[in-house]
Amino acid sequence: MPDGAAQLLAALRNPDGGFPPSAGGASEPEPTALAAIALDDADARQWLMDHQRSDGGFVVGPDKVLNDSPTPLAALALAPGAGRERALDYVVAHQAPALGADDRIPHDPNTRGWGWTSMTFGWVEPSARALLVLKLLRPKAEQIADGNAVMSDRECHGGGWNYGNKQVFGTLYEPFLQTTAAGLLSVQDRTDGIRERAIAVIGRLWRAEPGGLGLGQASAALHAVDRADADLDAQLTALVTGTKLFGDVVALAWTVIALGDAIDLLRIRPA
Amino acid sequence: MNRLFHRQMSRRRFLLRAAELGLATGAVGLGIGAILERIPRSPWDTRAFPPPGRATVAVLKAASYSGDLEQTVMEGLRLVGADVSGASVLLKPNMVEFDPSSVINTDPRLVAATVAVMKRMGARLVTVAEGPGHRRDTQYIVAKSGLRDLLRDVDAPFLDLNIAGLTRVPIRSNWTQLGELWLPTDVVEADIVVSMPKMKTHHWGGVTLSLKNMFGTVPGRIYGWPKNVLHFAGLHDSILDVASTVHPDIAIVDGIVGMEGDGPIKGTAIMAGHLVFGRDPVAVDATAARLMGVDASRVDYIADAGRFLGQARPELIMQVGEDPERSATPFKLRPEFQGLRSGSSVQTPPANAAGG
Repeated sequence: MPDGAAQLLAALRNPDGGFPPSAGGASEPEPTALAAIALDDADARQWLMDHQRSDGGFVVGPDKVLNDSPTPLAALALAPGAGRERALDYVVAHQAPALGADDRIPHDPNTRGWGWTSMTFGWVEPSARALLVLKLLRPKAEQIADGNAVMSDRECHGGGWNYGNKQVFGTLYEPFLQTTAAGLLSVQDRTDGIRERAIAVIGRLWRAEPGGLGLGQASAALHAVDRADADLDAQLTALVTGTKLFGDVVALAWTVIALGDAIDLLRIRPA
Repeated sequence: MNRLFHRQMSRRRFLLRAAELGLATGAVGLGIGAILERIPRSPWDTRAFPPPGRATVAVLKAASYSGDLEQTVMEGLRLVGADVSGASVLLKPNMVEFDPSSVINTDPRLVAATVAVMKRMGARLVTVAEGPGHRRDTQYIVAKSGLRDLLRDVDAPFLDLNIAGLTRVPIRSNWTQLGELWLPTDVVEADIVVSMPKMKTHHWGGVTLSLKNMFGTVPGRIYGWPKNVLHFAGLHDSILDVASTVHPDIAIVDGIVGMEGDGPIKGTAIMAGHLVFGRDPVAVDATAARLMGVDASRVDYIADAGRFLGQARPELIMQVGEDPERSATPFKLRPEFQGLRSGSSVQTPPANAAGG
């Protein structure tokens, strides 16, 4: 654990018990959920319970744009019980609508995944986090098959993921470090090669993409699959020491998760 | 009333008052909202947007990012009458993502030069801010692009708009029916917002310039990556609603090296050799499009912006510096956008993208 990373994160807590995306902001579900996981933090969990909607979801956004993508992370952060189950019910009931076939952005129109916001396309990161949490907490959910199909469909040539499709207008798009890390966490149980390709992509990209969020999430993904990279962790540690990750709470929380005990919560156990 | 006071009142007070109004009307109840949604609305309120007047746009030669870039920026801002004295200035470059082998971004050297010029012109505070549309890891982009080091040299902070504190504001026009936006408070409260796009083609919209560049002010943690809500609401409509609400006060287009073909990410570099300056972002985009060999009146969102947001008609734009027609470097366009070419009779498709 980088010196003081957990303390840096804890110091960004708001008086209401929640965590903001960056220092001084209002508490929001995603950073609060990640901080609750990273720090095993009762106050953050209480904030989540206080802000869970009656439908089980956790949202941010104006009335017509409800970003419900933090809900899977909040489910993972909550203690076992009714709140967690309602959050999981929300996740299985709120997949993205299927988008029709489009030659410009070829994809499997039978897949759905999960979007950042209600009623929009299923994107890699929100799909990956929903898939991960369902595999961890509701492993018999039928939506897992769709989630796995989405991750296969969106996988870039050679492995890994960017934020969306692997091809647009006939041009292949390359994977990103951070989204590949999110994807690896969600497919860590698969034995069809997709996991190994993602590990290789992370190994190829992490030196070229030295941002705190990417490195923190990549470290977490590699630790989750027991393939930690000491050099990556050293670079992440140096970045935390040198920049405090610029007060990015989500990046700090992933770092603390990656290098602390909380990583065990993200490991998918064989059935 | 001095100019700064007028400027602050016209920008900050409008947005902040609009934010208060939005919260107040939001409390009235869903019943009224449901009724209003059934009443067809004009895309804009003519009382809020009087007919666009004449505009001045400066096109200056700039052969490279080395040399006396600051002098060129200073001259461009002087020619269009920009005044930033005493103001808090927020520079918004295009850093949507980063590829070391490509020219996706507004060149950091131009951004740093503009910071230095703004300070020389008496700006009270200059902040560089961006909310990348494709990447969550903003610090990666800022570091690898070289922007962080250059900003350190000119002593300017960088603000990640994807994680900044937010203010809820009503949208000033009604193209999308989204009704309101959550925008970074720093954007809302800045005295002057400067849109600094890269001169690029765009595979959904034809071209991307200072109006489209405002997508980067909309936070990804609300609207997703790649700001997918805006694409679902319609690219054309969203460009107009975001630009009308944020409304950059100054636009500086990086057309030294642009991107042609499959922009805004996968296109190729083209030496265009110009910077474009103005205080009317619509006029700047119309002029920059001409420099790209594109008829701005055929770019639907620029044409519609010219109806209420700014001046798009060449005969009402006073061009200073280089002549945009004679200085044009025709950018390669995707086949479906050949109709945007000046003099072409080809039809272009509507701009939209739900996935991708």
